Amino acid sequence: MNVNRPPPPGGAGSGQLARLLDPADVGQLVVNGARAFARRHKFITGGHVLGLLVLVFVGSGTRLTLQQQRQHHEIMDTIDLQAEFDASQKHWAARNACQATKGWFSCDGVCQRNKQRMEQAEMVLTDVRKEGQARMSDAKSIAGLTSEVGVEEMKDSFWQCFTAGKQLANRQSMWDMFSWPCGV
Amino acid sequence: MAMRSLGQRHRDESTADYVIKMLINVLINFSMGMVMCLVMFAFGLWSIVKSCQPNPLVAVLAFVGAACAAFAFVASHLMALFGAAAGGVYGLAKLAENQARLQNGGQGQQPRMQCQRPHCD
Repeated sequence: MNVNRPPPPGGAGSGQLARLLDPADVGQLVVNGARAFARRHKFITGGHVLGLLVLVFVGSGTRLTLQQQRQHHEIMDTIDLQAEFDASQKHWAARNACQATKGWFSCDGVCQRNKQRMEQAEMVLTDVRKEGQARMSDAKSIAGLTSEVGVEEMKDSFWQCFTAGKQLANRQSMWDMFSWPCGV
Repeated sequence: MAMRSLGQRHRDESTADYVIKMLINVLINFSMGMVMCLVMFAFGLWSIVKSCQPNPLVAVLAFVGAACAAFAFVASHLMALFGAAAGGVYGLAKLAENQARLQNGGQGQQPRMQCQRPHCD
């Protein structure tokens, strides 16, 4: 008696081969997954959409008016860059002198004197920098946070962090690539 | 011959295994780098906002907007990265599947052709 049995569910003839989804099905799967994620995590999705809107509409910030530009430049011109440079040089020299006279585990009289000079130079440098930052803050307050000056500063900060993150990932991946075949 | 082909297959599998492991590792590293970038940016952002001396409402709105923008960019970047990796792996798997089906089809046809002779069974 000849009985026609149905083929195994794995596929006709080649039961061991797993069938991959077609590209159209994969697209549908991704869309369904994204939709389900958006329904489950409304806060994250909302933040993402808001961020995209900010990126599209804020762009590079509002342009400064002529008066704002003039005031901004006037305040920025009052920052004494030469004073900061001089203070930085003095601090560097004092630190070098302190390190040159310092022993491995001890600090004699000359070293102590150099250390005091270094601390004084550091205080002067900090004061000069604080003064410069306060004036810069005044200049930025004239421009405003949503102006091109404020937005540009935020963008610079972001790209700096982004580059640092990417470099970290590259470095770590390189280390992993070299260390894995050695079984480290 | 069979041993050689088995060894070849084992070597191919170990190479594919290594490549996939490396790919996953790179993706994890990039995810961690991007999350670190986002955290670093969020910490630095408040000092930037504060330095412009805005009123509190504008400060909070600007902080939230900038943080959301950074999150959106990083998330989109990661999605593109993961999508490209998944697409690449899917493409390779599809190619391998087609290749295997072709090979299986070729082998599967041989007995059928032999059995076309009369009194084959």
